[in-house]
Amino acid sequence: MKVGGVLAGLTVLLASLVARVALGVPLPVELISDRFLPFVPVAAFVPSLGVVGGPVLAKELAFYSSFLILIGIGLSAARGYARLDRHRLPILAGAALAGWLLALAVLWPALASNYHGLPPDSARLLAAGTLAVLFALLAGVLHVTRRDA
Amino acid sequence: MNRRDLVVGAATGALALGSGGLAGVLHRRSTFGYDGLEVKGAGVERITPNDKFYVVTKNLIDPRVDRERWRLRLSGLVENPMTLDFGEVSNLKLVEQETTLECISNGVGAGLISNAVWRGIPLRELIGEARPESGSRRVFFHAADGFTHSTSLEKALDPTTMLVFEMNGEPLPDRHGYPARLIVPGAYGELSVKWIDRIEVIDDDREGYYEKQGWKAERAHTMSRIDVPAKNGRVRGRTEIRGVAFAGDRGISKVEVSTDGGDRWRGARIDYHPSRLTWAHWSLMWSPAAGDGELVVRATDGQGKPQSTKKESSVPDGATGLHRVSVRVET
Repeated sequence: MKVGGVLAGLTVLLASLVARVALGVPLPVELISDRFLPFVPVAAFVPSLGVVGGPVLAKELAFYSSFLILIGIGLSAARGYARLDRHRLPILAGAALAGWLLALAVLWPALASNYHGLPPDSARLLAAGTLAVLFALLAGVLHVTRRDA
Repeated sequence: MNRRDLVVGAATGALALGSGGLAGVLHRRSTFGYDGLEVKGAGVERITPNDKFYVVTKNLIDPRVDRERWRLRLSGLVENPMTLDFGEVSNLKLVEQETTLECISNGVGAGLISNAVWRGIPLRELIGEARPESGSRRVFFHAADGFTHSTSLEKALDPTTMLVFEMNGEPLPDRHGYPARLIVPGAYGELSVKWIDRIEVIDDDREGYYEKQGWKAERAHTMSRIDVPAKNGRVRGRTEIRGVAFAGDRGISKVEVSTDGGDRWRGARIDYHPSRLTWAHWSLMWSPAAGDGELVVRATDGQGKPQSTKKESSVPDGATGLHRVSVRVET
């Protein structure tokens, strides 16, 4: 279960890095920060940067910790999947679909960004497609690596 | 260990290696090495070289926009919406404009300020061609990295507000907004949106990325800074004091320096101040006397308004206060 979770998290991580480097699709950490940081009042935002040693250290921390978080998500998902006795595949597929739809709903405004300069509509389509692939990979690897799959 | 475990282990190792390699690629392209780059001290030049120009960015990794793919859309409340490629925009009549930019988070005495010669087109030409509808009153800018900012239609139509493609005779570097960025004199740097790809004329008060946080960047405060001598530096005999002063798009009319902590003031010489849109480089020759030790500078903008002496942090509308430098006078 643990190895399967790590493998699933690493697969998602690698796929997101490939999409960032090759296609300019924002990393999950970039999507989340662009979606939510504007709502952090500046009076709280600036001191919070100071707490972690300044803006550059805060960025490095976000960049690398996001990798660990993806692996953590893989591990948590693997643990949850291992507990299922019946209807495993439909539940897994449903959870992946629900996760993707939730991500689209929450991150929608940030999906129009593309670091290679794609126009917003194309960028949003590409980012949504990439998220779909990430959720599908997570579910697929969890299923394949489950002991009695 | 069975065969299945071996395969899973090997796959995990391969994925970890691949992820590490790509993470390394992104780290090398990241902003970690240059975000917060400052320009201050003895080496400050009148025109800041591109690789030394200050940088503040929200991004972990800045965009690398493909110029062939780049499009600029003018939309919203306009009679003639347009989508232009780089060739169409850059083939318009280009003009040069020397303009200083300062980050809103630049503290008193800090170096998040630089000066360059920009080449591009007045934004009013593009917006004018799009023909804003009656009732439109603001403009909302969008960038490839998701950054947004708004300004008044009046500011967007100011003759000095530019859409630029070149910086000091070269195409904009990636970190400075290639292939196109705004230059908005008078406002802090966050309004000079980099990697711009959409200009939307609006009639509401929607807020951009930093505006939502509460930053108010529309009007840069008057600032002045001592670059030489350095803080806690030793001075002996006749010494040059020099630095910079800046007042957004209002220009600098006067710089004064005190060598005794602010009791008496002397006018400094303005050595360089090509237009109201740029910083001024100033200097003063000084023969230290007994009691000297704390240097202070203050500036007056081109409209005759003195720099604020009230010490305020950069949150939310830019820092104010006088720059003070203590030196050791050796006899």
